[in-house]
Amino acid sequence: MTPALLRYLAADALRAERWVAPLTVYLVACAAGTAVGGTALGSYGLSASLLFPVALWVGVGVSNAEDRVQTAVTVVTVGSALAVRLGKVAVAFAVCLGLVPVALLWPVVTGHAVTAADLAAGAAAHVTVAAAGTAAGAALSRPLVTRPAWVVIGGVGACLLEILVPGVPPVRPIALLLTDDASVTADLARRLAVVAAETAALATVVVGAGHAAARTRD
Amino acid sequence: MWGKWRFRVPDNRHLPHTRRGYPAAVAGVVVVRGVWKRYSRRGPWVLRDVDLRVEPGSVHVVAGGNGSGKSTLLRVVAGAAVPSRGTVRRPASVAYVPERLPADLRLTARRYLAHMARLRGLPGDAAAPLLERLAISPGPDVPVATLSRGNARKVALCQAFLAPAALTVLDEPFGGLDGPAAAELTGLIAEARAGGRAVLVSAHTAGEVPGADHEHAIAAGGLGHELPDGARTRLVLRTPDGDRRVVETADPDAALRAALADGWSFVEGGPVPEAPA
Repeated sequence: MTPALLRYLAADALRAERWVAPLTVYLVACAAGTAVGGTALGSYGLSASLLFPVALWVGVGVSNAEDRVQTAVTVVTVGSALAVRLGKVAVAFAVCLGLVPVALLWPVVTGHAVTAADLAAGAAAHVTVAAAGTAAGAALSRPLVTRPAWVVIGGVGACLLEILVPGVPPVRPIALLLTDDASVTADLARRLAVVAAETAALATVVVGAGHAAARTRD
Repeated sequence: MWGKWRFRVPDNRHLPHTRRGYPAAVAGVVVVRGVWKRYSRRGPWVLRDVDLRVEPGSVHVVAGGNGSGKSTLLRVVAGAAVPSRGTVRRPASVAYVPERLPADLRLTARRYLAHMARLRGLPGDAAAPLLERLAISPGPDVPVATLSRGNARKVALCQAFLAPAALTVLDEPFGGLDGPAAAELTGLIAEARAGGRAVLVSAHTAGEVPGADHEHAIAAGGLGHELPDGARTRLVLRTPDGDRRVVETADPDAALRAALADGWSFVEGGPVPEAPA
């Protein structure tokens, strides 16, 4: 994954404009979420959870942005299909990271009391969820999943899994941590770090398995 | 695997062998061995037991009809696709022009080629001389997706000949090219060959690519021996594991002797049927 590869993939994905819709939806959702009220951490819990489907959407969009025929040329030129896939995941992740400051500052703008510790915890939560979402999106992209209907079904399935199944990192644990008053202690940082580590492991498995399965269909 | 390799090249048995099992005499920048390919687990086989060797400084042509498997073979050789079975050895630097052209490429030709040059570690304007040679119309500053088929092909060729790749794989590169561009392409292939680089080209019929050193026929996913071999025989054999294998050879006696010695059994034999057009 060289800077030249990332630069090319970013330039191509930027022109595809598939990131516009999810980003707009997210900004509207954040605005609606913070308007409801509650603590700053609580609203971070909500906006971090909402980031999962958005990051998944961006992940699918960026992974599928490159022309299929051109992907073959890029893979041959770079000499590694894995590098090209990871490059697309990195570009999608970077797009989602652009949303994190907006999500963090929104409660400040709407008049919540936000401490530095809140900001740090919120940033960690959003970055972790963004990583998970883009990884899931990469696994739901071509050539493994080609039909839009299956992308939607897989994406909704991933969201339900994240929200409903206890123990699956990162959305449910993070939402519970940030909205539960009892856990807002010094222990929060450590717990978030644990969730982040679990998420990194899960994302690696999801991207790796998706790539291995996709390679047989190339 | 090993038994099959001995069977495929019976004359290599007396040669010394390297540790990885390749006969030491098998030089070649590309070595395709026993490659099978299908695109899904239950799908039809697109390639069947293909062996191919391409040496540096040579132009190999794979000729076959529509759906014969030549595009898939080239994708596998270039590394755009992985074989379902078998192995492919290729150099680190490969250039590839696909048969279909990117229809959805929003970048302009110039920016696209700048990105492709940087991917190869070259400066962004490395494609300028090639752009001049191949004369893209209406010019390199319109999106690739809006170019005509021939002009999009020229952009793809610029991309492939940007850097001196050890292997250049061109899938029906003459399709849609006008006369001057076809002449330039013939020149580019000859220059690559003279520079000691290997070139693998596909075509519909033999003799389509000027300056070819070797021509291989491909039909129904099976690669025959080189075309000038004359009359060939198709042998249907059964491996010790019970798999059915079809082999086309110019020397059926030697092939059959080697096969029987490896424990294979003979099912039937006859002349190779004409490939469907």
